[in-house]
Amino acid sequence: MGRKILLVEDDRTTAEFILKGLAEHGHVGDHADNGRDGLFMATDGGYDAIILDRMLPGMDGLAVLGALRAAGIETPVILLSALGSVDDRVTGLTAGSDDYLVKPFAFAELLARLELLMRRRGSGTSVETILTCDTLRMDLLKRDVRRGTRAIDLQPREFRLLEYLMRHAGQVVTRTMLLEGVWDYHFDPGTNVIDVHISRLRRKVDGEGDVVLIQTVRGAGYRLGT
Amino acid sequence: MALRAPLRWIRSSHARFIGLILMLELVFGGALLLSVTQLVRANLDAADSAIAVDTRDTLLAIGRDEGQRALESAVTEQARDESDSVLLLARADGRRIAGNLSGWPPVIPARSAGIKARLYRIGDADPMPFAIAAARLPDGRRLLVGESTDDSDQIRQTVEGALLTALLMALPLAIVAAWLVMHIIDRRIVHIAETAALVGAGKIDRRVPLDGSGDSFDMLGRTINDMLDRIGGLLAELRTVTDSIAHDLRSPLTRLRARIDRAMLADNPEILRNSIDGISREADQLLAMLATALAVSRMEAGIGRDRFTETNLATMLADIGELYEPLCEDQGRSLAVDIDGPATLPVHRELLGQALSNLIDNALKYGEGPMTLYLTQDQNNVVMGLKDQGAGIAPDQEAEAMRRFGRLDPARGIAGAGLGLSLVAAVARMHQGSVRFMRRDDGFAVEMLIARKS
Repeated sequence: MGRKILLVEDDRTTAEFILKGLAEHGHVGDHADNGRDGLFMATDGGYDAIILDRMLPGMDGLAVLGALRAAGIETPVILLSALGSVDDRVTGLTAGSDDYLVKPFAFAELLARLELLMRRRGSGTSVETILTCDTLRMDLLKRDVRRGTRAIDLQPREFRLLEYLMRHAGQVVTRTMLLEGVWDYHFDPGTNVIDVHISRLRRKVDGEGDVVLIQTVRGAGYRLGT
Repeated sequence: MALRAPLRWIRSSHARFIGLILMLELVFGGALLLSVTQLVRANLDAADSAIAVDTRDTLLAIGRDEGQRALESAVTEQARDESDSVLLLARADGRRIAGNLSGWPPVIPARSAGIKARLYRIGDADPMPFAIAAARLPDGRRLLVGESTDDSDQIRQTVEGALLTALLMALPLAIVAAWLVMHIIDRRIVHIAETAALVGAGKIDRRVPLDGSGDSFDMLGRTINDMLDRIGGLLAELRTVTDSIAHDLRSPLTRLRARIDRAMLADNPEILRNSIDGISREADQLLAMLATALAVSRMEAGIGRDRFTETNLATMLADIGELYEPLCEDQGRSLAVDIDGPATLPVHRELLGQALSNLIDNALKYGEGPMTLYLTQDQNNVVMGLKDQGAGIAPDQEAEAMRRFGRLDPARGIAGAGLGLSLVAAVARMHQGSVRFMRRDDGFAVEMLIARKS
């Protein structure tokens, strides 16, 4: 399903790289190369999401964001920035962006976060107590996980990891998304810390003879689903 | 900058200061003039009245003791002798019996003391001011005695004149004094301004001369000097950072360049793919180095202190340990967590997490044997450390290890952007703490000390 996405980015190479990636995944990308045009297009374009560079000629990215939010436009926004520190990330999020991505980034990371944002907007906020994916079933109240009839015994952190994957079933989740969502840390752990957690979880969830549910998406992260 | 325009001069603090002093001078001088003249006047008036009352009472006593004739002659005599008095003995209806007034002035009540009036004496062309005392005799006649206040008025005028002159002479003196004070202040400010201008022009080692008096100018100078020291430190730091980044980036960039050259010459897809993989790894490493350098510089500039939150360090250590434990186990090592009691401090959670993660990462790459992430504490410090059974960093290599991008293996066999200990040290400093290396018989530990009270 194609979505309409606005990209506000002044760097031509980065913009082409993102637009090409969006097109490859079936999305329609519009491009503005300065803050004023970006704000103008965002105000009446009816976009599903906006990718907004933080440093723009004409009008600063944060100012564009502020103007959008002040005008009551709640389109999800991902801020892109070359300012990589944790503090800038917090500033960006408090300024009203829904997510924050530090340049340089892998396109897979951007796409995963974008789709997560658009999905979040689409689904309501109904409280789910039972999550399912194929034959995998998680009861959040009883903290009971089963694959078919087989009970799976999980450590608390593994439970949260699987819960995060199941809540985003079918979507690509990246390693940094998992670190943020499950451990609540935003720093870069460098090594393949998350991969080891996933492979342990996978051993418990995908038993012998089961269809593999926890998929590795090369160059991006993981996806729960068949 | 010269303040030529009059409007700007009026707005200047010089003009305000001088204006203020003039105003104070005028207010105080005016108040002094007013109060002194009032006081002098009251005293002189009282003295004149007292003389008049005295004379009146003496005459009354003469009348009582020696009879009416004696009184009449005393009045006549005194009226003749005393040039600055007025005397009148009158009938009950006010007609003159004796004295130097032609009749009872209607403005004077029959019985009074301390009234002032201007009266015409017989033979005088002009009225003169008198302090008057009057009385009614037992037989109905009336007696009026007045003492001239002319002398007193002259004294008063002299005093007032003298005071006014003093006040007027004080005004220019006040202006001169104000100007002198401004000049003294200016001279001290000019030193500070000159120093600031010189520093601004690039002479970064210039400082405000201090006289050690501890007054407000001395304090201002010292504060500015402290600030200049800080700026100088930051500049030196910036230079070092720039130099070391340039130095440290050169070798990975050269390697990157070499790999690209090789990829361009590659004639088979396998080699090409491998080259591109290598290029991608080098690029990632460069990015990681830059991110670390940036983070350390920002911390050293004090950015991020406002993000400190009260954090339970015991929980945090347990979390980080739990995050890394599977990875360590996969690499044939073990990671235990040993926490001595709860400890909650305001910390930058992300950066501290990054620092702890760097410590574990280092121990994984360069250490040996089981690892322990531990927390100990005393009254002053919370100590967070990581120990293992490896040989650790040799004492003569500590400085290199703490350097930005410092790496101890010259061959650079293991991937990584330096030890990341410069980041650990910067995080510790940001929390008013420090990093230390502990060597024991059974291994090596890197510890971060964080002060409880910063």
